[in-house]
Amino acid sequence: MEPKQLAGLGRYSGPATLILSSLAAGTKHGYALTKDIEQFSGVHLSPGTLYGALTRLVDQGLIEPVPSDDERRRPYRITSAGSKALQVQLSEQRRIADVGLRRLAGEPS
Amino acid sequence: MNDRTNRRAARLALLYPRPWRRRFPDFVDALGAELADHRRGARRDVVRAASIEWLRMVGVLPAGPRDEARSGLGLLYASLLPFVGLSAGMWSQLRTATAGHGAAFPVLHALDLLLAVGTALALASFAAVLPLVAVRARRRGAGAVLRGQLVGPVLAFGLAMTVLTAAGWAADRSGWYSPAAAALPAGGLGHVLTLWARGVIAAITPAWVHPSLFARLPAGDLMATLVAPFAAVAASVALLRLLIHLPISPPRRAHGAVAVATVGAMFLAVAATVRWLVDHPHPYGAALQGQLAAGHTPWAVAALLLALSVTAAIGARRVLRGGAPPPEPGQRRSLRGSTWRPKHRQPACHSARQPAPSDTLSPVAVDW
Repeated sequence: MEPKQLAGLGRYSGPATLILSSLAAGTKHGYALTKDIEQFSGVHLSPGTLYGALTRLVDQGLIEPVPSDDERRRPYRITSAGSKALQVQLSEQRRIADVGLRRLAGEPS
Repeated sequence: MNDRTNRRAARLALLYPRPWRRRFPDFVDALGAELADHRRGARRDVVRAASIEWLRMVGVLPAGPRDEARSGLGLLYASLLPFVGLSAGMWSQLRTATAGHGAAFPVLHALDLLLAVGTALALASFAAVLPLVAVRARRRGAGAVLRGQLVGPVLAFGLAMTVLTAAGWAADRSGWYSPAAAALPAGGLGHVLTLWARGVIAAITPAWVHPSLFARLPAGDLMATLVAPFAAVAASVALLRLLIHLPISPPRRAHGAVAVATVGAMFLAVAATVRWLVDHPHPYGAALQGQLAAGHTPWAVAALLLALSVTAAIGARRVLRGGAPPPEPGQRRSLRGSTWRPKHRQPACHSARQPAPSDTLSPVAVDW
């Protein structure tokens, strides 16, 4: 899994990280995703933005809808490719954060 | 969530393309819950997101990192449509202006001939693409798949063209005259075959800027003016979907798009030259200026042509990038598909073969 698989999400890259992080804890439907993301990150995703990112994540095979009797409350789950992509992305973000924090502290980078 | 909120959510969801709504039937419920929470900006967010989905569906925006070729084709097509309209307008003015002057202006006549030959060749090439691709797909045994993909766009295109033809016929019957239509055949089979173009031309009217003019239009003209724009847009979208579904390999698609952009740029250059000759205080311009439609400032035309050319170039570039093989991690693609590796500044103690320091930011990571 390379980070470039997640490239091209453009303005949806931020929401995509949040959605994958939320689904890493288990399957959720659209509204539950919004609430969970709001709770752990303080970011509120409106349905337009949320489903725009969901569309792209489903297209790329990083998440998938779970078959459900109630189509109006269909849950989504993260795929193995999505887990790997999230792992790569979060590691990259941590690395960048570490660099920034070291530089802020005046340590040589 | 009450019924009223549910209905509002269902109405807003209609803004999305039908295929998208079928894929995400749970969207209405999520939107209803959001509306019930009285969140501000939810409607605006839905309108914006729905617009993006429409643009993705017709190929103007990429559907994913591997879909640049399709989006580039859409962008190229979207930029060429107004360009074709503008060039056709200039050309018709040229024909109208030179009609009464015989061979007095050989340069303008030569340019007119060039435009006519170029247009005929471009239309013939375009008309040949669909049958050629269909025959090729049949030979490969993919005829049924191709039919399944193309039947919808073909039907939509046929219906829109029928409406446009009816609009052109209605405009013709009401004694409508347009300088732009003067270049079209006036009788026989040619007249019948170009009725759709009269429908398109009838829709280009100053009445859209001065709505009081609508009241003065005869019934046939009015019908054509009001119906033709929607039919023209529907025909354009259907044509674009046809182009997208044609099973042409990415490199060929890229070369085709570049060829179209090049021909378009040449056509544009010729049309702009004509425009300059007509507008410039020159013997040609001095004789012709009084017969041209007023209100066309050369700077505005030049700015529009430039904007369309840049958009077409961006579209062609995307098509090329989409047709090129994917780059290796840490590399960026250039226009011709070759790769460019960013230069990391490395301390003198590191040789070129040694890996970069672990905290060097790679462009791939920043892209995300």
